[in-house]
Amino acid sequence: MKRVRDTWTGVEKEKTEASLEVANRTMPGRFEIIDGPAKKKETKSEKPKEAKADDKPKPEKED
Amino acid sequence: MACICPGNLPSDYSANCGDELYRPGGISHLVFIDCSSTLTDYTDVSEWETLETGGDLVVTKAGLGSKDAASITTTKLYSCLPEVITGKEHTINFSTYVVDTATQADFDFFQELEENHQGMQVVYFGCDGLVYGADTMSDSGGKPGFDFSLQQLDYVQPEDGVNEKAHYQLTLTINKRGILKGWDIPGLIAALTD
Repeated sequence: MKRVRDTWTGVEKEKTEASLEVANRTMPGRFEIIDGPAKKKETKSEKPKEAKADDKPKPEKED
Repeated sequence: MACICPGNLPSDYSANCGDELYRPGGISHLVFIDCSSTLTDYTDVSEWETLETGGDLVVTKAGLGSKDAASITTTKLYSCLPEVITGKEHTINFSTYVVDTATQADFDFFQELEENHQGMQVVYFGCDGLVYGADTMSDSGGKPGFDFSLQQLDYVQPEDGVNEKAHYQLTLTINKRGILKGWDIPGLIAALTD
């Protein structure tokens, strides 16, 4: 998904890449990709997860 | 008067290779939309879904559909020139065998379609995956569908109850000069026919 600004209506919204590709072809210049909010989300999700207690390797079972 | 300059020549288009040179024929579904409904962004599937959930858009069940070459009306406007095209009528034939055998709600669907069709516009889905709609589709606040006239609509019960199935059959006409264009709207057909 891309966050875009509709320059015809002034509305900001999310569009799929396929939908944006078609829109750019049939309505050139209508949608501007907005970097801000979408980029922030990506940065947040790229942070490495803190290891939870459950994720720690379990000791091997004794036979 | 020798001639009237026609304006621009058509823009050329590029073609792909192999099977991608051709589009399959066939119409899979008709979509009826309240005649006053418009879209601000036709590529936004959620706008179409909002019309559907608001009761302003309804899709037929899958069926067999076709569109033949339109009939053209020409008129002699100038003595020294050939006739010019002044009208074009496109005819869509559609039938569906899909009914509701549990509640028989299909009778009401088609009854209401017949009674209220004058307040509707129509869009149709091609087997090529395109959505066929009005040239105003890409206008912000444009009507997505064609105005149409209903020429025939009925429930057909064939004589042979062993080998043949009852079905709905309808014919509608669209008066519009030019070609009825197909629009690529990723995800729309799947969203409205699920």
